[in-house]
Amino acid sequence: MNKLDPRLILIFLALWTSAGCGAGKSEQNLKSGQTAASSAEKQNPSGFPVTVKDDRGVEVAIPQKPVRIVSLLPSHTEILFAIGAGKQMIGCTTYCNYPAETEQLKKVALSNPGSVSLEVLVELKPDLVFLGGDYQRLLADQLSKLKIPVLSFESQSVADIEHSIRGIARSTGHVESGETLVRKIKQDIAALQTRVKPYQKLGQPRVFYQVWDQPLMTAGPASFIGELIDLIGGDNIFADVEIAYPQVSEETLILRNPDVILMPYVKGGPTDPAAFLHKLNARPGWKEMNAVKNKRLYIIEDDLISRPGPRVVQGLQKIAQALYPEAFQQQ
Amino acid sequence: MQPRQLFLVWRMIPLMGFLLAALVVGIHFGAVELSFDQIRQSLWNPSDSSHISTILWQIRLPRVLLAACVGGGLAVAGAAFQGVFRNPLADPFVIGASSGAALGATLALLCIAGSISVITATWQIPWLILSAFAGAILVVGAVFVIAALSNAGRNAPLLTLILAGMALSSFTGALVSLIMFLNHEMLTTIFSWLLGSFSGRHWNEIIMAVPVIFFSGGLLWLMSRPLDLLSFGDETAMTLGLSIGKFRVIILIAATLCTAACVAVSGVIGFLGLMAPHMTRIMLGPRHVLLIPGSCLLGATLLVVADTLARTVIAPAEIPVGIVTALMGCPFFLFLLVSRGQQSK
Repeated sequence: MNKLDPRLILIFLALWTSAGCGAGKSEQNLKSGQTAASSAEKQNPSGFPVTVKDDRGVEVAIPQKPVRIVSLLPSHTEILFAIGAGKQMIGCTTYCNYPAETEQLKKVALSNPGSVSLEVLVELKPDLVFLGGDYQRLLADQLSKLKIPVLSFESQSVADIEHSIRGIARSTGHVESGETLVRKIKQDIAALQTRVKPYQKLGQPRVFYQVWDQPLMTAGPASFIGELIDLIGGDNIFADVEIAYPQVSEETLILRNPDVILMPYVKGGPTDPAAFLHKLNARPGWKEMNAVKNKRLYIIEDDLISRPGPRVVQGLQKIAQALYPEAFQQQ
Repeated sequence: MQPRQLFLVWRMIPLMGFLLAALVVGIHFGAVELSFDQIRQSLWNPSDSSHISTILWQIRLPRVLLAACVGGGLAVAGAAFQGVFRNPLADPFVIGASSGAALGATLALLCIAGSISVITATWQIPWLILSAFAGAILVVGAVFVIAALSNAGRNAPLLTLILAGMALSSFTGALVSLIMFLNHEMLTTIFSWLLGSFSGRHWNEIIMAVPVIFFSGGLLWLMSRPLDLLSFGDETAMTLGLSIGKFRVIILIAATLCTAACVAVSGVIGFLGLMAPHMTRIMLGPRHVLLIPGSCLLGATLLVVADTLARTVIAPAEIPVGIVTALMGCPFFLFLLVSRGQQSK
């Protein structure tokens, strides 16, 4: 045997690496198992294993408290942090920008469904992945096939917020703080509604939400923003359009003459309504519009009103202040 | 020859009638219903400041007129490109004008949404138009340079132009897609621009685009004789004493300018520039003296009708007009093709 058979070396190499990997894995599992068990005992004595049914109708069994959570929706990320599960997270998308702690998490993808790299995701060894919506459906199925527990919760409406919080809270072992959060959101929304109620006697202000100006795009009642406007007593002038974010007729806009114009504030964009007012004044036919005449143009941070998450109350308050400034003046 | 030409000119009159009818229909119908009486009254007093007058004078009228000009411009450019390339499949977008304009516009939209927007707040629209225009000219210029560099045999430049145009179109198209993909929140905005729309266009756009369209369109009309000769093929044209290279470059530049101006104000409106010249050719024959003004009238008519549909079908929401032109135009065009084929049998 003056020469080693190369095949033999290969076999040895293969055996050695696989053994190494296996050992590493089991060690890690053991560690995570321990931490999970200890914290679960402290927080939630009834605890794990738990079975959670998600919006796909799939029942997912979660054997122990997850400590390597990945969230693929900014709204789910915000919920996780709000119920105190932030410390159990390891990954999120580049669009998850709130709270500040998200910066320390591993960024798995943009929130486009196509941009999620399965390899990066799998390498993180997540023990629970949260996502949502039809367009992440395929991804959810792929992850399920790889035996990675995945829960899909819709994130489209105010009702979805409550539902998502409950599901996320149950599967991460924060049932109680989840319930508290749901109660808090409900109370806050109700408080805002009662606060503006007395001012609705004179009629609801007619609202135009401008997503974009050329082409002229707004948010219909089917969108989350449309729902918020309706919830706080605004009369969306394009409530008769079924599409969530329709391109609409400028003629109709001028005829329907909104009292208030809302615009999303995009990061880095202008925050000063005066600059916009100047621009709107220059548009033909807009000068005579009530909203422009009375300078009732408000810019609202996009994330607050486009993400069905725990910060919905802040977004709703911004809209309420825009529609009923009188209700907030006394204090 | 002379009386026959006169007879052919007469055949343009129905086309003018169509355009007039389309303009009336476009001004009458809209998301807001206006009766003929209201329209007549406010047309007679343009200084009136009622809603009706604002809607009619400031929104509907400029939009209908812009649709007519863009439709005419695209059709003329299409006719010229088909003549120069001797290719029935050529359209205004064949050598990359549309994808270049799309890239320019996409970048401009991105800048507007980004940090520079404070400065550009009032200049947003001219800025968008100029970027689209610059993008179109840049890409088409690159196509010409590549074709010149490839230095192929005498008859090959045409093919090289088309191939280089296709390649660069794909390339810039991919860049636009990349920008859309990376800027998720801009997706709908860029997308609806790519589908073509006259939403929110006013007199400003007309002032900026129409002179270019008229100038380049007029230049193309003046070139109808060389275009006729070129469509016989280079050899024939040369034996008939035409300096091919010079005319071809003038025609291509004029047609590109025309396309770029159209795309800059309306986005990418497909199919019209392909369809209108073919339909006109079926009606008026292949001679460019008639084909170019005929295509202009027909293209204008078709786009005014398409935009009226886009404005009214799901009012108060709107459909991007590019979808309407393709949806309505394609079956009609195919019907014409088939019926013409049967006539000639």
